[in-house]
Amino acid sequence: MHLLIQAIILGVLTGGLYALMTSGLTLTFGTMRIINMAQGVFVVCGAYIAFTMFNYLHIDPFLSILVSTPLLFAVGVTLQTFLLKPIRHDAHRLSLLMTWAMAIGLEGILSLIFGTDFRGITTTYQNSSWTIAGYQFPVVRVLAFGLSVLILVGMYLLLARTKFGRAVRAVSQRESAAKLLGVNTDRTAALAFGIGAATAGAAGAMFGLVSSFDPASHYDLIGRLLAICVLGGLGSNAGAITGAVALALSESLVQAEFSPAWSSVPFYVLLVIVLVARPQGLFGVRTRGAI
Amino acid sequence: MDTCLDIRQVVSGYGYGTVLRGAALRVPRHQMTCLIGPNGAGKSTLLRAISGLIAVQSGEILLDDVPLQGLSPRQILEAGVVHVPQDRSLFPTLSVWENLLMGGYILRDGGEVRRRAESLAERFPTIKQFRNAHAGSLSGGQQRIIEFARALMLEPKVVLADEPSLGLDPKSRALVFDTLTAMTKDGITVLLVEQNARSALRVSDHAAVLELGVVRIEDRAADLLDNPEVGRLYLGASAAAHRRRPHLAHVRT
Repeated sequence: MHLLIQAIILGVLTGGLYALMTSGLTLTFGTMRIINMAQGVFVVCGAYIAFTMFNYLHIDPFLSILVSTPLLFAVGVTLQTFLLKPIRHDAHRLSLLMTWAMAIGLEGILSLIFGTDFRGITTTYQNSSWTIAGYQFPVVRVLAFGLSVLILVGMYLLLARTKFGRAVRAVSQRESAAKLLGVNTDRTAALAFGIGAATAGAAGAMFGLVSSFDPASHYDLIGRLLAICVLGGLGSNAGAITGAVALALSESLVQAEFSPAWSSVPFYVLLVIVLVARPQGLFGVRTRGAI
Repeated sequence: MDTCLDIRQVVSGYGYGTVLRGAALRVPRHQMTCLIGPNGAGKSTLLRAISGLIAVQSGEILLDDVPLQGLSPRQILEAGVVHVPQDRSLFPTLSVWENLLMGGYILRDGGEVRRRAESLAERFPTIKQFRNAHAGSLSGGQQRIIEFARALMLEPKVVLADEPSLGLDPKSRALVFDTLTAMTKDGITVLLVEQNARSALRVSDHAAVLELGVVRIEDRAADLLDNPEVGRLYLGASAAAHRRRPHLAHVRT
């Protein structure tokens, strides 16, 4: 029982971080109907930025978020402007290939700079944890969870409550109509993609703290992130959070109760069941004219 | 005639093709002008050229003697010309209220945007009734009304309405035309494009026939409606035409 609850705690804490990574994917799909295959590599970029700043400048990885977030935002805006904008006439299909090309390209650049060895960020508080009622709360994961939740709430407010958020949603649904109302659709799309990449930048620094990584880590990451998105319903924030917690929770439970080798299996079984029973995902909606 | 929008020999189109080949039209102020003509005549294209969605290759479009051609869609919006396009233009998963706020997107003062939206909600019961509903869940006619309300957010001088009655039932169609008429009474100049030429001419003050990218006839709407040649060529089968072609009349019944 103790082990079970401990596994649930770890699962939920990790789920928060996955939710943050996935939120960027949800944003770009929800707003531009683009499935961003480069989201995983953006996370890995964030991890390498944190790694570099920690090893060479001795800056705490949590502080390096202040650098990795704007940097990935800039990368996102640039890539959108030069690679995605030219193909937006057929963005639904071509963007899948284009963002995958971005992912492989960035992976190559990371390999050139950092090599292909596994890296990790080892801080002094790496293995410390708080003990509450006999249960372990690893410091790194609690902080990562808290920060992820904060950023997620911020993103939600930005999209749901601000004029910019309204414009982003409007452009995603009827670009020509948004243009007629005076929205600069090119700029809005670039900013939205940038924000999606920025969340990966923030999540990446924390990802570097909780696991080791190499440039090819993004293959595994993007697989998980897409699975989370699909389970929850593409484009849905609530779905992304539920999917993320379901993934992390099931992995952590199976790891604790059975064996790490089987840890991913239950989630993917669940994914198949959901797709058969409810193809739009748990929280996916089918509103007339939305897609 | 007090001209609000003066369209002078406009040439425009898509890619290498020209659709408008020297279209000229004077849209009188505070009146409803109806543009009719066969499919492919360039009616929608003319509206797109006015609102800056496509470039004007030559000619002039003057709003109160100020040229609009060459300006961006946003600048034209700021000048006071709002375009309500033919296909549905509400954002389906945004609420009715959010759609309305989007109408005031180019205004900097958020408080003013809200004030205008509130006063429009007083005028259009549909807004009040469906304020928080997804716009996509409304009927076609209701969506049209919200689109016009949204167009009024900027307190425009000119509203360009492209086929507003398309796909609507007769009752909604009447409501749409009533809304447009009410707009002209409030001092807005309306340029209307309609397939449904007869009903549009009945509610319009001024009218023009566009054919092959050129304005063929420009006249008072009532006179155009009575013009037998216009009736025969552009208003579809009139009663007289039916008598001349009994086999068609037979098919209709």
